[in-house]
Amino acid sequence: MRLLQSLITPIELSRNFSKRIALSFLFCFTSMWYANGQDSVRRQKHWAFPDHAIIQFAGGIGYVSVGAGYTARKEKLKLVLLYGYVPESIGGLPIHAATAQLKWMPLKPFRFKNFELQSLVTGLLVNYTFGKQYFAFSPEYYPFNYYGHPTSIHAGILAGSEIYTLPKKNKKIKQWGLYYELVSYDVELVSYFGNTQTLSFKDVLSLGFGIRMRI
Amino acid sequence: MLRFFAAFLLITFGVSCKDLFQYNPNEVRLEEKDQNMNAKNIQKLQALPQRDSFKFIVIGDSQRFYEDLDEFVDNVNGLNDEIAFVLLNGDISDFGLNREFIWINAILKKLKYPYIGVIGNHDMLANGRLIYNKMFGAEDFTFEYSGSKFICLNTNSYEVGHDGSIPDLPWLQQEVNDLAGYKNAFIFSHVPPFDNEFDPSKKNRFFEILGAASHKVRLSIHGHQHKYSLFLPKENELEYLVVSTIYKRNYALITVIDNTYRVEQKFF
Repeated sequence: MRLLQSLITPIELSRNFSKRIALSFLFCFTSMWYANGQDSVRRQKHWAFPDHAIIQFAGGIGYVSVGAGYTARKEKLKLVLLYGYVPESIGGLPIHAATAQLKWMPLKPFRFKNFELQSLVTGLLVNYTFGKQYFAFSPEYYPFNYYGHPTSIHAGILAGSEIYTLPKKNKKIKQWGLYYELVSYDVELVSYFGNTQTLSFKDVLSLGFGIRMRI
Repeated sequence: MLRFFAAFLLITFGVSCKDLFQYNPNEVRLEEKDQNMNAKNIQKLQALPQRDSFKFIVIGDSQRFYEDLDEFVDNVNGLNDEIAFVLLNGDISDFGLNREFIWINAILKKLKYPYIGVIGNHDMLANGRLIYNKMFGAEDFTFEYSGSKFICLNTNSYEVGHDGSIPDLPWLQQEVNDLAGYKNAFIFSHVPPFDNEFDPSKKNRFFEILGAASHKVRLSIHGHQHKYSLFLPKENELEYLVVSTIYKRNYALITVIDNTYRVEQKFF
C-alpha cells in the first residue's frame, strides 16, 4: 500500500503536471486520428488506434468531455477513455478529469430503417480528477489511510442506450451514434444504500448525452 | 398539436432532469436557495423576540446519516419548547461533495427553527471548503441572540497539516476580548482542543484564551469524537461539551437562563 501511495502522490504534487498529462493524453488521440487521415492508401489500422471518437455533455465526468474508444467482441464490449473539463463558471472552479469506461452491451440491437437501437448499454467507470486538493491516499500528515477512501478517484456504474446509423464503409466518419447514460459513483451509492428512506435513487444519478463517431 | 405535446414533454423532461446533471462529483455548484445559509438563518434568529431565558440545540457529525438527521428534524419540530436555533457542529458531509451538502441542507430546511452550520474536518475534503463557504459562509464567524454571543470557528488543524493557519487564535482572542455588553458567550468548533487532531502547538493557548474569559464564556461546544461528554479541565473555569453524532440519535439541549446554563443530552 505504501509503495502504491509513493507512486501516486508525486502525480498529485503538481497541478500543472496533472494538466500536462491530461493534455498529452488528448493530443495523443487527435494526432493519431490526424496521422491516419493522411494516409492516401487505405491499410490496416494500428492496433492502438481507437475505432471511435466521442464528445459528451455532463454525465458526471465533465461539462464537456472528449474521448476515444475501442470496440471488441463483435460490438459487445467497448473501452472508452475520456478527458472531461468543467469551466469555472459552471463548476465553481476549473475541473480537469480523466475517465475510463468499460461498456458491455448484452442485448442484440433492434433495427429499423437506417438505424439501430442498442437498448441497453451497461458498464463500469473510473474517474480521476486532477488537482492537489484531491488524494488517492490520505496525505502523509494523517495517520495512514485516515479517511479510508480516495477523493481523486471515484468508481461508478453506468447504464444507458444508444441509437446509431448503419455503418458506411467509404465515409470518413463511418457511423454516427447518439447516446445517453446514467452514472452513479461509489460515494453516491454508499450514501443511497444507507438512506433509502430519505434519498431517492434519482438523487444519486448523473445524466449525460453524447455523440459517437466511428472512424 | 402533436408538436406542442412534444415540446411540453421535452420541457417537463428537461425540468425533472435538472438535478440529474452533474459535471463532476467534485464540482461546486449550488443554487441561490442553497447559498449563504448561515447569514439567512442568523437574520431569522435576529427577528425572534429577545428573551431572558432561551434554549438551543447542538447536533454533530451528520455525515452520511441522512435518515437519522431526518428523524431528528421531525422529532424536534414536534417539541413544545421554544428553541432559538439548532447548530450542526461540523462534519456536515462525509466526502466533502456538493451533492452531500445539498441533501443535508434539504433536510435541515424542514426545521421550524433557524439553523447554523459549522465546518468539520470531513467538510474540508476535496472542494468541501469551497462548498461550505458558498453554502454556509465564513468558517470563523459570530452571531448573537438575547444578550449571548456565539463564536464559531474552524479547528480542523489536521486538514492543513498543522500549518498554523487553523485555528485562528488571534481572531478568537479578539472576539473573546469583545464581550462587553453580553451576559454570556458560547464557543462552537468541530475538533475539541483536547483531541489529538487539534494543533498541539495551539492547544494550551486555546485553553488560556477561553479560561481567561470564563467570567463570560460559559461553555465550549465541540463534536468530532462521536461520543457525548462534558468535561471541566480546570476548577472555576469553563466546561467543554462534546456532542455525539446524529447517528447515535441524540442531541444536546442547552437552556440559558440569564447568566447560567443547563446542558441535557436528549435521545430521539
